Amino acid sequence: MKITGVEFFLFLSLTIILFYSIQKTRYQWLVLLTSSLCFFALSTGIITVLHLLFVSLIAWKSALWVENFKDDKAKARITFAAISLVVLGLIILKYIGIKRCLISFGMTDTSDFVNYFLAPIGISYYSLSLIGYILEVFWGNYKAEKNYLRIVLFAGFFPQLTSGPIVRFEETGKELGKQIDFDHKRILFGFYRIIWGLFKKMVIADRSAIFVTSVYTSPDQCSGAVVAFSIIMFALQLYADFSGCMDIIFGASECFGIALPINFNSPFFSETVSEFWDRWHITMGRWFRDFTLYPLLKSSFAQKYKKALTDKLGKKAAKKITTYTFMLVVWILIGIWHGGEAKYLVASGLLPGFYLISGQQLSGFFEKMTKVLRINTSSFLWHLFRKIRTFLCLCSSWVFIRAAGVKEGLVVLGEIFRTKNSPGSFNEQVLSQGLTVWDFVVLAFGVLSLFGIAHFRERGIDARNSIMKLNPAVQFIIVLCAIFLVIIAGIYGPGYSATEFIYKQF
Amino acid sequence: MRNNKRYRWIYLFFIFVVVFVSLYIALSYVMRPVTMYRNTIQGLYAEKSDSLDVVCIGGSSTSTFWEPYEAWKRWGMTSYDLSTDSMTPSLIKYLMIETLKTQKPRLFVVDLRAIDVREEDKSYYTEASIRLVTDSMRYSLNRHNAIRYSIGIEEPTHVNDLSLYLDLIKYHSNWQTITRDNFFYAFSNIKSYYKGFNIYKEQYHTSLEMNDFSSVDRREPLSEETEQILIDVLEYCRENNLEVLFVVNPFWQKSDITKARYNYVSDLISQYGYTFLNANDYYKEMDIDFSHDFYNHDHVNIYGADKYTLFLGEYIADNYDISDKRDDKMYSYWNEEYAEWKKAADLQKSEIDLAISKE
Repeated sequence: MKITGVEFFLFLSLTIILFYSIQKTRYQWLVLLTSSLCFFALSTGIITVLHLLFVSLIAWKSALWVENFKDDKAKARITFAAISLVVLGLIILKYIGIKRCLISFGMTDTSDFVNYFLAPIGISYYSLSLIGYILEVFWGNYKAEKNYLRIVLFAGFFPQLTSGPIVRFEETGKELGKQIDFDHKRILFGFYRIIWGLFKKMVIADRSAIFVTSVYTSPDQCSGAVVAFSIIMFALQLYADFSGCMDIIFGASECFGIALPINFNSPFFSETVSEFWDRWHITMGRWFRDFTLYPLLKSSFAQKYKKALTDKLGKKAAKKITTYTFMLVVWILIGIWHGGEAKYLVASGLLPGFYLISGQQLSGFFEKMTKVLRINTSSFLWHLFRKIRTFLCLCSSWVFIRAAGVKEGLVVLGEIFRTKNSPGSFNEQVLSQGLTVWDFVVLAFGVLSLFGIAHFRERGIDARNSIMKLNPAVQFIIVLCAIFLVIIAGIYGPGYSATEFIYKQF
Repeated sequence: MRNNKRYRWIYLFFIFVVVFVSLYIALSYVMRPVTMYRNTIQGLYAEKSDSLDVVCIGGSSTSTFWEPYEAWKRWGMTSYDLSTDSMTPSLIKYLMIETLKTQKPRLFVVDLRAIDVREEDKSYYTEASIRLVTDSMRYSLNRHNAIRYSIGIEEPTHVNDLSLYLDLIKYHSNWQTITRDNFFYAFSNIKSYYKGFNIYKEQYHTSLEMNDFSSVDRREPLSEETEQILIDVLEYCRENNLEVLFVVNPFWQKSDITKARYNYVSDLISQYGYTFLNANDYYKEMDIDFSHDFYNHDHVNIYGADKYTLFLGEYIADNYDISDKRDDKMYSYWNEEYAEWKKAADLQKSEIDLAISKE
C-alpha cells in the first residue's frame, strides 16, 4: 500500500473514524493496533505479520526477564540473545534474502515458498526501535512494558512502517497509549501536513526524478554542467522524497494526536557536515549514536585500544583516534543499514564519515585561515558559503546512492569534468531530459516554498499555526488550492511511472 | 454547546466535499483532450432536447457511413452518429442510456461491425476503445456503469481502472498544453461538426475487388462473451420498448465466416423481435463500387457513404414512422447547417477525384 495512494488515504480515513468512534477512549490504542496489523498484512502479506509479532514477543519477554533477574551476567546474556535474534531476522529477511538462504540449504525450486516471505515493510525501522527498547530496559533507563500488545503497536504503528522514524518507547510508546478526544483542529493540523508531504513527494521529488533518471541513464551524452545540475537535482529529489514521506507519516499520526519524534530540521541550512547529521534523519543518527557509538566507546575493548594508543601517541591524539575509529565503524554500520551494497557503504557510510572526521580535524586550520584572510565570519555571505560547501559535500556522496554502483557513481562524477562535444546548448540539453520549461517553473516554485517554509521555521514561525489563525473561509481556499496543486502538478497516473519513496527500501 | 460545535464542523466538512467534488469535475472537463471524438460525444448534449429522430450507434463504421445531413436533405429526418473509432460493443447499451437522457429518438440504428471484429481478435478492443467514449461523457452513474461493464467484459491489458473512472488521473498533466478550446468544451455545449459524421483528410481512395458472400447460409456461433454483450443490448431494448434497427454496413469481407457469424446474429436478434439488416447482402441494390467507393478495406469514402445513406435511409423511411421536418421552422437550423456540410462533402469528393486521377 503506497502512502501516496488512494488506498492509503481510504485506510487512514477509516481508521480515524473508528478511532474517534470508540466511546471508551482507553481502548483507542486497540484500534491503532488492529489497523496497523491490517496495514502490515495488506502491504507485504499476512505471513510477514508473524515476523513483527515474533520480534515484538522477543523484545517484550526479554525486557521482562531482564527486569526480574538480579544476576547482571544473566541479564546481559538475555539481552545479547534477544538482540541477536532481532538482528538475525533483519539480516535474513532484508539483506541476504530468504531465497538465497534456501538455495544455500540446497533447495532449488524456491519460487512459491519465497512469495510468502517477502521482507516485511519497515523491517529496518521497527527492528532498530525494538533493539533500542531492549537496550534501554537493560541499562535501566526505564521499566519494561507489561502488555505485549503495546510493544507490538510501538513497533508496528502503521504510519511509521513506510520510512520510519526510528522511535523510542519512552517517547512514542507513551504517545500511543494516550486517550484522545475528537478535535477537528487536530485532524486539520494533520491534514495540512499530509498535503505538504504530498506536494513535496509528488510535485517536487517525482518531477526531479524524471530529469535525474534521464541524465543518470546516459551521463556521457550530457555536458558536464548538465551532469552537475542533475546531481543537485538529485539532492532536491532525495530531500523532497524523504521529508515528504515523513510529513505524510507525521500528519497521519497527528490525526490521532500522536507526536512522533522529529526527523528533519531544515537540513540544507547546515553549515557543517556534523550539523547536517543533527538535522537530517535525526532519529537514525540518534539511534546509532546512543546504541552503537557510545556503548562502543565505553566498551573495555575501546578503553584498551585507547590506552595502547596513549602510550605511543599521547593522551590527546589517542582520544581523537579512538573516537574517529569508532565513528568510522558506526558510519560503516549506517551504510550497511541503508542497504548493505557497496554504494550505500560509500554514500551513507564512508564519505559522510570522512567529511565529518576531516571537518572536525581541520576546524582549527579553517579558523586560522579565516583570521589570516580577514573574513567576517558573521556576514551573510560567509554563512551562505558554508551552507553551499556543506551541500556540495553531501551532493558528492549522494551521487553513489542514485548511481547503480560505486563504479557508475565515479563515472557520473568524472563526466562533470570530462571534455566532450555534447549536442546542443545547456538549455537545450536540460529541456531534452523529459521536463518542459513549465516543469522547471513548478520546480522553482517548489524549491522556493521549501526554503521559504524552512526559513520561517528557523525563526520560530510555523506555517500551519499561521494558517490555523486565519479566517475559516481563507483556510478553506488555501486547502483547496493546495489539494488541487498536488492533483494537477503532481507526477502520477498512467503515463508516469510511479516512483517509490527512496527511503522505503531501507 | 460542544455538540453544536461538532455539527458545525460536520456541515463545513460537507460543504468542503461538495466544493471539492464540483471543482474536481470541472477540472476534469478542462483537462480532457479536445478531439473529434469529444466533439461527437459532447455534441449529443448540444443537440436540442427531443430533436433527433434517429441515433446511430457504432464505431468508425457508423461515423464514416451514415450521413445525417444527406438523410435530412432527402427525407427530412434528424439523425446523429454517436460513435468513436474502434468503439467496443460493450458500450452500445450505455450510449443508448446516455442518449435517452436528452433525446427520445424514434429509432436507434445499431451497427454490429464490432461483433465480427471482436470474434476475429478478442484483444482488439483496448483501454483506448473505452476511453474514446467515456473520457468524453459527463460524470454520471451511467458512465460509471459503462466503464465497469466494459472493463469486466473486455479485460483490457494495462488498464488503470481508477483513471478510467476519474480521468483527471490520466489527463492532469495536460495543464501545460490546454487552450481556449478546453474551456469551451468544459463549460459550454459545442455542437458536433457534421452530427457525428467524420470526414477524414488524406483518406480518399483504395481500389478493392468485391467479395460477395450473400449466398452463404451456414451459422457460426459467437463466443460466449460476445453473445452476452449482444443479449444484454437486446434485453435492454426490449425492456424499454425501444425501436431499434440492427445493421452491418458494407465492407470488404475476407472469408465466408463473417457472413456465417452475421447469420447467427440475425437469428438471435429475431428471437427478440428486432430486425437485422446486413447491407453486405445488397451490394447491387446499393450500387456500391468496391473499386471506387472505399478508402480502405473497412470503410467507405464519401461516395460510398452517399450510397449507403441512400440505401439505409430509404429502408428507414419505408419501414418506420418518421415525419418529414424540412418545412418545420423549429428545425430550420438543419438547412443552414446543411450548406456547411455540402461544402465540406464536395471538397472531399474533389480530393477523392484528384487522388483517383493520379493513380
